[in-house]
Amino acid sequence: MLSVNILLAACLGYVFLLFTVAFVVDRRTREGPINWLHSPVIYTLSISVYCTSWTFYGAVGSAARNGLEFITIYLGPTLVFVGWWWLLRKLVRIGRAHRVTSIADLISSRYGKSSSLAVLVTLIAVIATTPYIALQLQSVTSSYQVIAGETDGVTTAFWVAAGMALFTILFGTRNLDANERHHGVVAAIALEAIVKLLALIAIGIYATFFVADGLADVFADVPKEIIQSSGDVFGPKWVILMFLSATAIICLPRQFQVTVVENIEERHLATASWLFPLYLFGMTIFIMPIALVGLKVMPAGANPDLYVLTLPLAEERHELALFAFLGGFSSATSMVIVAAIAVSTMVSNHIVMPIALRLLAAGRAVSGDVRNLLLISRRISIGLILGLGFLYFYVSGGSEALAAIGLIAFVGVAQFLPSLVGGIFWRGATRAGAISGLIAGASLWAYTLFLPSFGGQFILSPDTLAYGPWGLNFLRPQGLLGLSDMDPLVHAVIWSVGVNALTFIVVSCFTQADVLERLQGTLFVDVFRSAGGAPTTQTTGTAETEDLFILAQRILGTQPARDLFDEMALAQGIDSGLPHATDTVISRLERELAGSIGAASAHAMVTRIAGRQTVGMSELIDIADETQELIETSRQLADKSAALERTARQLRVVNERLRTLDAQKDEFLSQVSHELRTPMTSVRSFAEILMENKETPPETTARFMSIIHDESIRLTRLLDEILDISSLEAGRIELILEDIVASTALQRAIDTLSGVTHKEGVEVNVTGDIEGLITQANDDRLRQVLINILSNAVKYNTSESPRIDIRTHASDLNIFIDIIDNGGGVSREEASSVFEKFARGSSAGSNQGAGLGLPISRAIMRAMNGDLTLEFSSDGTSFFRVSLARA
Amino acid sequence: MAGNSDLQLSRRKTRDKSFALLILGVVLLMPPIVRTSLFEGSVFGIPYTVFYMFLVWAGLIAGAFLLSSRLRDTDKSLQSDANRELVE
Repeated sequence: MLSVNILLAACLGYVFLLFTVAFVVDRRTREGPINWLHSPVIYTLSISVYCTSWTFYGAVGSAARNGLEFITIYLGPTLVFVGWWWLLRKLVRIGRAHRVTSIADLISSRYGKSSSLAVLVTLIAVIATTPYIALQLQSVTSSYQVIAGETDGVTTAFWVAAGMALFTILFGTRNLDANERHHGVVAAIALEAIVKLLALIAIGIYATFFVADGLADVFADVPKEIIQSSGDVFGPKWVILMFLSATAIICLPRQFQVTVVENIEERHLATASWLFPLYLFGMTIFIMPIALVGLKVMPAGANPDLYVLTLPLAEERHELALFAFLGGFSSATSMVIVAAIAVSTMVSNHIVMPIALRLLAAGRAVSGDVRNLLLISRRISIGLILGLGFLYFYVSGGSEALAAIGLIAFVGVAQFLPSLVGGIFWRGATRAGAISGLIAGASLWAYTLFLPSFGGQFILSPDTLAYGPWGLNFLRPQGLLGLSDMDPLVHAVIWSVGVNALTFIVVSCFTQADVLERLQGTLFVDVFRSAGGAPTTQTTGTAETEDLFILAQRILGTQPARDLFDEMALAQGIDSGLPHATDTVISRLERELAGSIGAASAHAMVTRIAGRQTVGMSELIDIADETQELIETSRQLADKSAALERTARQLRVVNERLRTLDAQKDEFLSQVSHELRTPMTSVRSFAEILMENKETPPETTARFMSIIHDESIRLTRLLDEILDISSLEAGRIELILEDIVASTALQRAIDTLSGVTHKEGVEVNVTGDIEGLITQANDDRLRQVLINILSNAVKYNTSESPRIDIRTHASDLNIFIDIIDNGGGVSREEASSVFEKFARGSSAGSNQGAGLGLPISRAIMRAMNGDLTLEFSSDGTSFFRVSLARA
Repeated sequence: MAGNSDLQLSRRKTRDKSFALLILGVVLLMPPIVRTSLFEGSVFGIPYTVFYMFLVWAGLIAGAFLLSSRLRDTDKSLQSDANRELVE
């Protein structure tokens, strides 16, 4: 037999180890963050506080009684963590953004920092947690009794409770830092998580491979009723248990504490998403073998709930039994510690502190340090919770009723689910909806599950249980409205959670949220969208900084408050003294206070001092953000479509021009073919005449030949001109420009034509003064243009005494050469067409050229940065003007 | 930018996959599908029902493991605090 002394020594040694770890870590954290403590593994291990002694001992018992059903308790949380991206991530983000201290704080904060809601949630949490703590005390006690023999269970339980209270008070309330993080406790919990996992695996391996002969032997000859349970294992209860365990991993106050409140970095959640299911996998993989081996080896009357311990004892493996005991002890104590911290935070923040504050405010007492009051209230709350747990254990006398308490607690905290999930995903959820849903759900839970669990010993009499109150059968607690042919647990979940959710939704639809509630609702629901997500504050000028400072001193302690205010003052550019009570300052202060006493209390306090309750700009901006984004998006859309419209318009214009150009090109082509056709026809006909009439006289032949020759030359010239103009217009010809004297170029053109003018008797007069002015031009091309215009003036001049006046003048930039003849000139109607290709003056006779001279001339002038235009003088006569760019 | 939208697309795909994994888990572990595990027989001496349960469970863990780091990269707030400060 394992001696009591060894057991006690091991136990005390283990407890001493836990204290040391917590103490060392706490002390080291003060000096700076500890790296390994910030690892996601530690975070995951602390979440494994989910596995209490109910898992450690109870799962084996459950497997022995109901087969596979036990596994649902671990599959539900697995699914929640696998789907962490959709729910847990949001909870953690909200928890961090709003410095949430507990699940009650989160729910009350969401519904407009309602203190009544906080109190309600706290009360439900206390009622659901107390029996659960009693269950842990009982498991430690009975496992102790298994080894040490029949001892006084109550005394054992008392010392366990007292020890846990001491530990929790020492490490759970050392400081009131913002964020409610307890590094020492977390480290100790992580250590305990490893111990319980290793212990269970060790027992499992021992049972499977040493007591039995491998897995095949374990499952050999096992009737399938044992594995699949006697009834239908995959019935409604399977679904309900999965739902409950999934809910519990979110809603249990201790789970909320480790998952959300103690979360250091959001990314740790990503690791926990697979590591925590893996931990559960490791915890459960040997549950079934242990149960089956226990059923085979142990005597018929043995309690399957204690197989983990009694199996190695029966096989005389004392060291294993001791290890198993420590594992069970670890699971129990870690749960008790975290649950006590979580629930005491709620009790202290939402029940004790508001009462204390009201008393203080009534007496207008400003002296004293609220920080101490807060610490004391936290410590008393811890004592109270553990005291209640012990009392419950004492009163219930460790009865069998405790065994079911795990699931009863699950259903109790499941009442938080509608308000919690509805609150963070549905903006329309209101405080009235949450309160009425919670009250309805909790009452039904108490009536259908919690009170009947006492077996008629407490409030509900056995008669009521059997026949309903006042003999009204349809009100029977476990068969409401005649729904009696189902498992009491399924019955209770359907009624309590169902009515809760329904009430919550319906009442929310029919009630109005007040301003603060709506603001908080938006901040919570859109926590990923709003950048800041700072808790809302109410503020307008009346806040007195001094009062706020006193308040901060009382809650945070003198020095931290001084530091905080100095920092805020410095941020405002004030070297000494208190900062101005701006929005930022008050919101920052409320956030800091919320980290210690919860959002609702912090809000109440600051409101009391700051006076009026109005809405700060910052959260209005936060809420406006979304609208702003929409407006911004639609504005951008409008801009884009306007730009598109502009582009389309431009495209239409360009298209129009392209069509015109295309038409002009067609026109040009048909004219070209027409112009080419005329000389070609005459060449061909004269050639045919010559070929057919061999007898043509030589002089006629010579005449025909000369005509063919002339026409060929005309054709060649025409083709040259066409090539020339198309090259010029396409910009393919780079004219080489040089500095030339304009008057010289003009004179040379006149000289070139002097033979013609003399023959036709045309008189040429040059007036004006451009002597020596330099222009940038190509000499040959300029002469070509001038000759073309002058010869036109000679050719088309029908006057009796033809005369050409050339007037030259200059501006700063240009040199102008106006060529005026006394022939018919060009009418205004013709003016627009003279520069068109193949156009000829109306007065022109036939066979006077192809009509390309003017277009070519103009193209040349433009290529030389000048121009050729048709101008009209005041008396209506037209003349050509050659503009040259001055060098 | 093309690179950016590709990244967005792959992030969305990862989220979709993680949602699909969750749905798959729920479907496989809930009636009626879970009843398919009820037939007689054993794998390595383990009754098929038990084997099925742990197989699905292991699959979920593996899936969550594969997706977790990729999901973590999709949100900058999920990266280490120190890194984030550098980025900002």
